Amino acid sequence: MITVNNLSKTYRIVRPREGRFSALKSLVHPEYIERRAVDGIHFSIKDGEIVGYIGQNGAGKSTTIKMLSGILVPTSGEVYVDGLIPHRDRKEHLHNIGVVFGQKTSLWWDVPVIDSLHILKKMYRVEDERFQKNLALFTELLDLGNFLNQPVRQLSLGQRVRADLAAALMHDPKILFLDEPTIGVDVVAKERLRKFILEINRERGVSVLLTTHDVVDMEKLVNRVIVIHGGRLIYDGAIHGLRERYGRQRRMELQFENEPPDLTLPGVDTERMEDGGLAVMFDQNAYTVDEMLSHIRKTGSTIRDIIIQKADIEQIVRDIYQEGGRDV
Amino acid sequence: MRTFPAFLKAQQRFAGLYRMDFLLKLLYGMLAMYGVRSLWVVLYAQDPAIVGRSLPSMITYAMLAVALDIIFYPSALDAAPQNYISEQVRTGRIDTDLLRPMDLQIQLLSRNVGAAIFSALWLVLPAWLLGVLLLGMELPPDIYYGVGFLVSAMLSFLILFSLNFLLGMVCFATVNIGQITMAYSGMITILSGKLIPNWLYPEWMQTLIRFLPFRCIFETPLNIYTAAVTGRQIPKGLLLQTIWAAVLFGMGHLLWKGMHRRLTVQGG
Amino acid sequence: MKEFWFHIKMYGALLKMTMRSMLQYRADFWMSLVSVVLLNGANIIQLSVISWRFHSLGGWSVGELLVLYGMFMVAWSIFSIFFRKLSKIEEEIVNGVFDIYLLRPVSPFLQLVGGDINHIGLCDTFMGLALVAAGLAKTGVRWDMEHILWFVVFILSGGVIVVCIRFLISCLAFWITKAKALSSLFTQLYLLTQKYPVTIFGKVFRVLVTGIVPVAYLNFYPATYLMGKPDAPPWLCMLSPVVAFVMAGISALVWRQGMRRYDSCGG
Repeated sequence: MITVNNLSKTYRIVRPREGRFSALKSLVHPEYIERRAVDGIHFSIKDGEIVGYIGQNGAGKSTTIKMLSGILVPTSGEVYVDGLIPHRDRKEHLHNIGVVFGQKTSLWWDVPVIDSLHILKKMYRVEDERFQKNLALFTELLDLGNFLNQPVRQLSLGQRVRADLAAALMHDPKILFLDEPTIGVDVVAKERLRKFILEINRERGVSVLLTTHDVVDMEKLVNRVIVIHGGRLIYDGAIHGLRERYGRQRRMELQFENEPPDLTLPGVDTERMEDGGLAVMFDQNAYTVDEMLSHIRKTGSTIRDIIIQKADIEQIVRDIYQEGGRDV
Repeated sequence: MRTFPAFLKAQQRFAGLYRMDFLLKLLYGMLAMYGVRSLWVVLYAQDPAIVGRSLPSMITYAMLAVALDIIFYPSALDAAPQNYISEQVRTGRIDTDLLRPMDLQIQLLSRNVGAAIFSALWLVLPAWLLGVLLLGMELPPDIYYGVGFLVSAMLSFLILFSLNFLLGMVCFATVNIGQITMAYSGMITILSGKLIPNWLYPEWMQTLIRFLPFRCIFETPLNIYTAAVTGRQIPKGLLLQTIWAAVLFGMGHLLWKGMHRRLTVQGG
Repeated sequence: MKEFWFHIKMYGALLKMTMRSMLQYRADFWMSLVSVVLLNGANIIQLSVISWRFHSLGGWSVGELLVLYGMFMVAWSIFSIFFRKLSKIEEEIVNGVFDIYLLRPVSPFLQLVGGDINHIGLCDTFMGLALVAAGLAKTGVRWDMEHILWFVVFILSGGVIVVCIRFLISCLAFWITKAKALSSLFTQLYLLTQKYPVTIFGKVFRVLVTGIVPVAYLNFYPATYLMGKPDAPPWLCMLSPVVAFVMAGISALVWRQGMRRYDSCGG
């Protein structure tokens, strides 16, 4: 469905200048800095997959999504979406995709939701019958009934995202791009959105590529994650694989008979817990549990109690972000 | 006084971001000056007697009016008191102004002064210099007139501020002051001598204008600069300006006091 | 052809949405008419006083000056009624709306234009027409059918020209940030050409407003031709539709380049 080959995007940005009349100089004789937003990434997504696209802000997620949706032209490399090149075959391509931004609506702000759906129907030239069928279905699944006749500006964030999802699906796209669809939405609404996305994926075979910071989204929604950092792809595979590869992180929670020690070891994070104990985070590739314990004992503190935990996905993703990932 | 912080803030912004804006605004000012200059060159050629003064004096008057206008109408809109007040009333934030220990009028004056000093230094001074060098603007005949002009221009500023503040007070009566503002600025444009020198008006209108404060805003300082008044008339002009400034500023003060009491007692 | 009708229909549909949005913030038409009169009142008074005192301004009588002023307003109103959004590209890019236009299978230009309609602009049209009528009454010039036809041609061409100028400035946003500052410079040009015959500003200025930023085609050349003034040869005035056509062509090219630039740079 989606094939991405050696895809890169380099922005040329005007270098800001210092000194007198800098703005004028920049205008007349601009100097550029090149910034690689996306740097030679490969992946492919099959029909009916739900893929999580993960990375820090500025990692190149939005740039990729923009290239996949045809808004941006790649600097080099290839993108095929359902056999089309998005930026070249834009019009045709746009009928194949639906895009939802969690942060901004594509609906008309001051008019009732239903009116937005109607004008989108005209834009995408959706036949009446199909439109009615979809409207009925989405109204039921997303529970739009209560607010179809309210202007978008009066909707809660969760309602708004639901309306946006319905709008993005009215023309039966084969692929859905979701850019942080659950951001800022409350827990109950999030759950509803996830159920809907799964349902649409199952019933209609819509492929989904979503970016998210939400670990629950990843665990409940996604079969596969692609992690991007600094424009480079650093992981592509099943979510449990991510845990295996990066999950040798351990968190050790310790209670002491006396004052907890100050532990300063390379690659080890410590954190005072509320109950007076000490949490020690370390990587098993660097220290074994036994080594860690002997380090602590050397400080002269006496351990009263100990709990050792595996890092959860959230922790793993945070670590990947922090370190930029190890070699894949 | 928060004049200096306001000035500094404008300075910082200037240093950082808006230099391009500044150049364009200067160009904009120069274009406007060139415009009025051309107008009076043509009119003078048509009938010097009606213009009633020498051509250099007339174009100096007209171009300096444009320059003063730039100072008096700062581009940062919230520096002008009427805009600030109407915005605060509209959004309901005027309550916070009531809580401040500082008098609103003084506070707004210092903001406005800060912005004005800024545009005086960075826009009007260069525009004036270029006007003198390129467009045939005259210098004041001697230092006495020069200083007289500066003092007069400051008083003009105070009068305009006081009028604007009074206009701001109207916001408490009606939030929608769009039309009132337009009528008001139209009146200033017409009656202050900014667009049309007052001596061109019919007799009855000139009489009317004599009893209004508007002419003190542009005509008085411009006439001093161009030496259209004798040296002995300068103190008289300044005195009249001072009286208007005091009366209008005082009216604003009383009105705000009253409004303050009403708002705090009735809770908005 | 089918595509053409689709776009016309889409424009209608977009305008309908826009109008519905605007019902929320409806401005009072009559109050706005008062505003327009107030805003232009000072200029009208200035022109009247000048021509009362000096009998004319650069050879233009008060009636002719009113026609000059009025024609500008009418041509300008075409922009302010239908095309204001074209001058807002920078805002649309900054707040991300432009990306959303690009995600829909309808021309982004159409979506931009369809995003605004401003019936208040009719106030300018009315006041402009009233001034033209008053000017004609004052001068005693009678327009025959041919004049009226030319008037329509001039107004439409002037409308296209002002729309294109604003649009081109707005398109700068594809290349530089803060392009808005430039537009105030152009505003100053209009302020001068709207009320004064451009002949008073000298040759350089005249070349500027004829050949580079052709604002003189909004009112000066049309009024010169229609009032039979000797300020410019008739053929130069009658070029108006050609100038409009050229401006529209340039605009189309710049828009295409701008879109290409946006494709490769994003917002």
